[in-house]
Amino acid sequence: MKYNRTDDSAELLDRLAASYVFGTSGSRARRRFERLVRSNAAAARALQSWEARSAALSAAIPPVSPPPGVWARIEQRIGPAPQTASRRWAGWLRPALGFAFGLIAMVGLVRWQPQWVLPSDLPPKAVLPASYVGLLLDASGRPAALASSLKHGAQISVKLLQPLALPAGKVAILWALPDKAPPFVLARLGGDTKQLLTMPGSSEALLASVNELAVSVEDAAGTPASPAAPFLLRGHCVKLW
Amino acid sequence: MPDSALLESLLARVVLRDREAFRQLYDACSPQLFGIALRLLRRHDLAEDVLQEAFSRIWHRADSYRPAASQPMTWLTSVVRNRALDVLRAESLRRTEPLEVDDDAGDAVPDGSPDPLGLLEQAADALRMRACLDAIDGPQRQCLALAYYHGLSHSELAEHLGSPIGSVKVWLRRGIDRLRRCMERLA
Repeated sequence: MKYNRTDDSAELLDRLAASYVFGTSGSRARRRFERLVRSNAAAARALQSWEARSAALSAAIPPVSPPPGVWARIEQRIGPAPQTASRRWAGWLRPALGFAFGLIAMVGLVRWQPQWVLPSDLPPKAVLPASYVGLLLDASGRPAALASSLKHGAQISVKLLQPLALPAGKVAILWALPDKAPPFVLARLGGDTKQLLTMPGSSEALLASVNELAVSVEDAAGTPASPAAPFLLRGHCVKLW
Repeated sequence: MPDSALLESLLARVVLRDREAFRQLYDACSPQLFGIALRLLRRHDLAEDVLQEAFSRIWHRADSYRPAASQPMTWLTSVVRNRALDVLRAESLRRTEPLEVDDDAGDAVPDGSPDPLGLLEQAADALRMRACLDAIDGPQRQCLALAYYHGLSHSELAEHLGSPIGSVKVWLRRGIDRLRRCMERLA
């Protein structure tokens, strides 16, 4: 059945809805009617009435229990169960620990045999490994940013592992979350994948009692005194040496 | 028939990705919905596929259910019927699967369960509109039942009833009009 805007009559819509619900129209007519329902409220109402009638007619059909394998296949289709809090913790703990041990091994190696790791034409002091390292996760627990700072430097280097989704007029602020003190601002983040930011002091002075780093989304104007909830990213900050 | 208020609360929890609620919804509704798919498709394998696809859609699209607009079972029935009808209307199935009208596809439809016309009469009894249904002409009633419960297309109806496709279309249209009036009286 063809639908023209000129015969936008209730009767035609009712017939189209009935053919759709009865299934007597072909695939193309079915798709056409589905599109119509999305854009036309009267068509949607006609469909609703026929769907209610359809459910009343279907109620007479005797129930048949599906075989047990069907549920298992549905579960497969909709993907694995969402991780519980403890498993989410375990999920990031393993890569974080691996990363930390790798760094510690690297520190040891650099100190013990610097010429193995560092080009011999560089003075060893030029490439000291980071002393403070933070791995920030997004809301779904995926690693999103890596922050590291030298022991006595006032700069923190940040590598974004995934781009920050910022609304217009907003900026991302990197916070330090000390153990027993309110959060304070470390730096304002840019959009580059790799960036070197200046902190208000040396990392040893600022980060010694900081357990966590976090990123919040703030208005571009001014510097906030406290972070806007919730944090976009958050993660542990560890002192390596 | 599962309780509407229960199904509504389960669907609301499914929107929040509550797997336990989804399992309960499946336990409560899958026999009814599987019966519907099996009637239309008359093949166990196809009906199982349709049930899987329908529940996967229910999991992902539960947020599109509007409690103010329809009963939960109405929405669930539509999801299953639409998927089953799409499968029935798919060109490939038509070519390879000549549709048998009689329930002779092994154990596809349980023994002793009524034929399409019997189902339509039972539905009419349950809705207390049997007299109204009985007043509809025989061929129109037959077309309604075969189209609705077995998903026969116009040409399949014509073939099954041995009547020209033009007559079938007229019967079906009149039958649907009469059925709507019967059911409107209820509401």
